[in-house]
Amino acid sequence: MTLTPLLIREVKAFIKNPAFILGIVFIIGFYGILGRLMSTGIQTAVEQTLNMQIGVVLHDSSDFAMRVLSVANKTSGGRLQLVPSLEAGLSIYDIVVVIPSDFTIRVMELDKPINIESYIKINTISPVVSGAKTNIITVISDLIRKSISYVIAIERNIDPSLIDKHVLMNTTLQVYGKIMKLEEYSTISFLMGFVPMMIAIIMGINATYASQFTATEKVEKAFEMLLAQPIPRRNIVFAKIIGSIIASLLMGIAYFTGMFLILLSATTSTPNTIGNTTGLSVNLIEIVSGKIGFNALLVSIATIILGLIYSGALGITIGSIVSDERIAGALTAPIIFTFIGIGYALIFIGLPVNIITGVIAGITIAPLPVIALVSTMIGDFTVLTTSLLFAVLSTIVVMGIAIHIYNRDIVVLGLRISRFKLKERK
Amino acid sequence: MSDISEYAVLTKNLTKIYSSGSIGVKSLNLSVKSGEIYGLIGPNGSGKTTTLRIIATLLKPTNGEVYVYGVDVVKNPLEARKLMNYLPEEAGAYRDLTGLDFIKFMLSLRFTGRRLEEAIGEAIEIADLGGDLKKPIRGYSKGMKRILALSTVLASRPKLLVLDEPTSGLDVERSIYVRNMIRRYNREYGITVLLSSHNMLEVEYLCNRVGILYRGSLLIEGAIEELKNRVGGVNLEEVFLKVKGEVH
Repeated sequence: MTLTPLLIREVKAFIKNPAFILGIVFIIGFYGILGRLMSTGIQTAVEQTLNMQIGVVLHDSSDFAMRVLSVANKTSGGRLQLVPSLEAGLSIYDIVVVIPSDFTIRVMELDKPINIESYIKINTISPVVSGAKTNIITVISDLIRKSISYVIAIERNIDPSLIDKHVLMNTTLQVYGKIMKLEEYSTISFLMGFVPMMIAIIMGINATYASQFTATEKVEKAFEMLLAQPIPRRNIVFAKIIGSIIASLLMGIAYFTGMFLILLSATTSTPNTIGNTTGLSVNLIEIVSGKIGFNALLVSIATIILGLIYSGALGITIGSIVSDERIAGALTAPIIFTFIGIGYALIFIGLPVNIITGVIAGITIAPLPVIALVSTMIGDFTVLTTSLLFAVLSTIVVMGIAIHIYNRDIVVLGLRISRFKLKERK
Repeated sequence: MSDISEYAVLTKNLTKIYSSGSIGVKSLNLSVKSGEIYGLIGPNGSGKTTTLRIIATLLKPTNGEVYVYGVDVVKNPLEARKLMNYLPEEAGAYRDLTGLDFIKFMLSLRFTGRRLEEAIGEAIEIADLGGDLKKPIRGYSKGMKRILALSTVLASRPKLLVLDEPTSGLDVERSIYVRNMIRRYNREYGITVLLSSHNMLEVEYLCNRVGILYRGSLLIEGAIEELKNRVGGVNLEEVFLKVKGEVH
């Protein structure tokens, strides 16, 4: 059985690789801490959301409407609070429901649905919190429907299950002060999750390319010859960064072209409820220009450029201190997961967008578009400026580290971890 | 300052202690005269490669000074690199390039224009790989890669050539070819050569002067005949063994 020794050798190569072990330990430790932070953040946010009070603007002052509201309030544990107007309600509560003046008339007419306007105030980037708030609207819609049935059943002494009025909840969101429909917010929420994720992946791929290229050069034994040439070491570093960026961009273009082709074939047109055909109900370009602003788009492009330089320098640093591609790969993989983890943690923990989170986003680069998006919506660019400043600074620092390493012994001798050595020294 | 620039290489109390605590070289005082071929000999781990790497600006010394034609390699590494070229032990080449592209790439880091064209032509001549030069390096034998790397180093015609085990892993025929090339460039262009080798016969054939390194220290240095007379050995191998024996 020749497979067994071959397999043992392959497994041993990884298990005895200190970089691989370190990578595993790092990922477990990092994601363990991140998981706890995210779990606590999400739990707190959801608990706060589920216990929140809801403002109710009552435009129908009929006795029936009052009774329906009273039943609904009792059923919800007293969470419905009457407010004089929508503006007053939104200044106190995150969710406000408006009972229209024709509420009772519509209830009494069999074939008419009951239209209720609802408003949600969202001042967080956490999709968990916003998701919980939009779910509350569904719960309230159901609560009002059941309360209507109950009140009518009591009045007419019939079984409530025989009454089923259709309640249509028309929801408007106020996201960081910008008014938008639920569908529009869903698109923005998707972008807030998707864009940092994509940037993190691109950065990870770029770091991998850079480290692999550098480590390969060492394996090919041309590295020392190159270092002995009369050229500034920083030029070697710059060339490697630019090289890995070009490789990543080519790969990125191919990937996004593929994604675009998939989207194109999957979203040509879909039939709507009344049998006609229509395009997508949400126009991405309209949302970007109307709600997000092209500033955020420009920041996203700047983030990709900064992220590529940052990750390229990071990859080169790793590639230059290891002795072969296998170790470079084992060390780069945790970095990819770190970028993705930090990008997502910032969003899911539900931290407020402020100077501190702005600095974190700047240092880790990937979450920058989220900061840009929020800053554009609230119209205050202090946090975004801080983030961009830190992003540029951290990129310069990482490049500086790469250049510094290229001028040190470690680039030739390799990094030593404990009793293991990553590079044979002569 | 004048005595420093007289030498192609001058080290003063050169010491290298690695982060692990092991000693690479210890208070090494080495002088290589301009135009000579100097051989560093010694067993594995004696500090030959460490010394050459420090001179070639790849490593930084822990203590001491190193000058190449009067230029301090620690304070001014870029200027020092302009004066020399370095062939590491087991030097290879980029697998994805052809031999010709590798020659062009390495020499374009030193020259431009007409001088670059001349250097490329010279390297092609030295490599003597014929049609194989247009093939990817991944298909080359170890000997071919070594000759290719050497061709770029020689064709750059530096004032100082630092060669770490230049014939390591080469067959007899190629070893002779490399030795002859080193000798030719030393004689025709006055290039100073500092090389390390395990092969005492090679050193005896090539070098004007030698230094014997052992455990990071220079035990003895001088012209080969002078050393033989001084120690009483018939060849360098005997000189080495006798000098080493005295240490023990």
